[in-house]
Parts: sequence; C-alpha cells; structure tokens
Amino acid sequence: MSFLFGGRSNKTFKPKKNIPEGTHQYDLMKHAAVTLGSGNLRQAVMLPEGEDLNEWVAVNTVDFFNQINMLYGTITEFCTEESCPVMSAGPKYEYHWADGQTVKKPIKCSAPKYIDYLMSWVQDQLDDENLFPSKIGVPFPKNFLSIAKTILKRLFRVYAHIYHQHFKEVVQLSEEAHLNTSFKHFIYFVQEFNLIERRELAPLQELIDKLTSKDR
Amino acid sequence: LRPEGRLKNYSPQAFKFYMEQHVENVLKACKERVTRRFQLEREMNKVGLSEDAQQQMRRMLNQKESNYIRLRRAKMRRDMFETI
Ligand SMILES: [Zn+2]
Repeated sequence: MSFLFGGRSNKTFKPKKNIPEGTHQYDLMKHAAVTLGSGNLRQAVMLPEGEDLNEWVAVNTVDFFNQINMLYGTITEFCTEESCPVMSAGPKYEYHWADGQTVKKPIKCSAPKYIDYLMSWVQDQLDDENLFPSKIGVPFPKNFLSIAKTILKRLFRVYAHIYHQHFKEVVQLSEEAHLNTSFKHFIYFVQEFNLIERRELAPLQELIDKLTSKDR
Repeated sequence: LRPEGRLKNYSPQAFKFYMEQHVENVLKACKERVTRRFQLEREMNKVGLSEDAQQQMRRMLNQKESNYIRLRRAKMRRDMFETI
C-alpha cells in the first residue's frame, strides 16, 4: 500500500524563492513565549517504557487531529475564499492539494477548501480500521509509521497557515497560549520520533527554534 | 464565503477549555504511568518473585497500559465524530 502514501515527489509543496519575510514574523515571535502551564511536555511525549511505538504514535496523532480540528474551527469565519484564495504559509510557501488516492494531480485551491480536503482526508484515515485498529489485539499495518508521517506532515500545514495568515485573529480571540502549547506539544512529538522532515517544517522554523530553545 | 465541507465551527472558549484540560491530562497520565510501574517493582521486590515471574508481570502491565491507550483512542474518535 506504500504507493498510496509514500512517493519521493514533493509537488504539493512549493517553496517560492527570493521573497522577503513579512513583518508579521515579529508578532509571531513576540507571542511565541506564551504557553500554558509549566509541566514537562518534552518528557510527556517520550515513548513510555514497554509501549509499542505504533500504538503511541496512533493515540497522539488522533489527539493532534482533534486539537487542530477545534483550533481551525475557531477561525473558520476569518479563513475564507476571499481572505485566503490560496493555501499558503507566509509569502514563501504555497500548498497544492493532492492526496495520492482520489486526487493525484495537485490542485491549486483556496485555504478553506484545502484544509477541508486535508481534514476530511485525515479523518478518513483515522476512521479506517485497517490503518488505525481500535479493537484490542488487532495489529497495525506494516507501513503504519509512513502513514502517520504523511498525516502529521499534512496537519503541520494547518498550523503553518494559521500562524502565518491568522495569528492576528488568534491573538484577538486570546487563544495564542493555547495554540502555542498545542503546536509545541506537536513539535516535541514529531522531533522525538523524527516524523516530519526538516524541509517540511521550514515555514515555521524560526518559531520552532524559539518555542523549543528554552527546554532543550 | 466558505465552501461546503465537513469542518465544524468551535467557540474559542471550547477550544481553550479543551486544551487546558488536555495538557493537564497528558502530564497527569505520564506521571501516573511511571508511578504504576514503580509500584509494581516495589510490590515484586516485597514478595520476592523469580526473575521469570517478574518479566511476566511487567509484560502484563505493559499490555494493560497499551490496551488502555487504544481504547482511549477509539473513544476519542467516536466522541469527535458523533458531534460532527
Ligand atoms: Zn486562511
């Protein structure tokens, strides 16, 4: 089944060259320090002793999906065909949708449409008993980790879009600490198990460095 | 205008409450799991089990923990999709 999820091509991810950073980067950095609580999330993402890695990645992936689903649900009124005619993460990164299954040729679409495709696609994966078994004793498929990597890589793009295009609204709704905490937890998790390639994280690299610098 | 889709609106309050609870639960679950493991080791020391029996007990606890997070995932999924 790896042909559905794997693939070395990276046509859905288009870095644009030579475009200067926007000034909104500053605001991101100013607010990046605000997070919830003081507990050790870095320790909480680590594989518990004796736990199966697939099981651990599965439960956390569902957790992050739920968080991102709710988070995006708070800003849907600001993320429209008009405000976000393309799915982007700042001026340098633009995403085109393809799932490798029903949509093979990447399509350029608005952010709300892209995110709707993306979240529906993830939901379908999580719902698939062959990929995410929910009954005790049923094993994960052999390629489970590569499926999870694809899901997490795509979920990251929703964070990237929200941080770059909707951070102002997030601050207006006073949910920046909640977003930062969710994202920090997500980053700790993908770093711990090497689940997303560094070049995919580039749109938020500066923020990632800042969020994770204090407790490295 | 938004395209018709499966995405749902959430109030910021709902998201914030969820996140606050969630982070607390994640940290608590992590701590409690370590504690259970500790407790098992202590109990086993007290009764002086053989090395084989100890391994067996550890495997049983691991399996129980693993089953627990699987059921939690299944439950989370159901809760999430029932409301959509
Ligand atoms: Zn948008």
